[in-house]
Amino acid sequence: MVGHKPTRVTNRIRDLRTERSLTQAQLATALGVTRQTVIAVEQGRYSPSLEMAFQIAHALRLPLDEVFSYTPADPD
Amino acid sequence: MSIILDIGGVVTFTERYTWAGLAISLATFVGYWSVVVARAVTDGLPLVDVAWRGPMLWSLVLGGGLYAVVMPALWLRGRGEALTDVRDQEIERYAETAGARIVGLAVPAALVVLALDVPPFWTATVLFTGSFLGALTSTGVALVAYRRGL
Repeated sequence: MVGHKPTRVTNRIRDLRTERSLTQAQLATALGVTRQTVIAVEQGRYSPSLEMAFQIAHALRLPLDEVFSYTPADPD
Repeated sequence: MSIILDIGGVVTFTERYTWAGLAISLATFVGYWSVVVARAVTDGLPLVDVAWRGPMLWSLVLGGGLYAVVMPALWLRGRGEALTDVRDQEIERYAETAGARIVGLAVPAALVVLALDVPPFWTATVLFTGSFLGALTSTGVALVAYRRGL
């Protein structure tokens, strides 16, 4: 369904990118996507494929779980 | 619309194109009905007796022509940057599916109208309106997906 899907996957792309002085446009070029897609991923409006998630982690020279994190649902 | 298209340069080529498609669809539909209703009023005729074929064909030709002109114009404007990617393709696919459902309803509706042996105006109206609503749904779904997420 279109809309703001509740996702438990969060990411630190914006902070990590800023630490590395990497612009959204540069990251987009490295990933082969538009800058708008990088913005959407950073803002949690678009969940990237597993492959793109690995590409992002690779571009930031970090393991995947240091870029993305998953908070399991509370069983209550 | 230019305000929407210029919001911080964060609109992709395909999103601009979708906005243009929405504007063209609306203009085409409103244009057709404006002419048909104006003719009905000025000639004092019921809608079904108005000369509707010309306005409908013209609206299809002009709408299609505008669409064909807008795409290269937007492409030229955005040249040098990545124009489309996997997110655009996912949004486009989702939106097309939503639009196709509406158009899919219009087809059997048109068959029912044909079976009722009513004037061709009504069959054309069902198909024209169904196509318009399909385009409206498709562009609406795509624009919501671009703004709020997929």
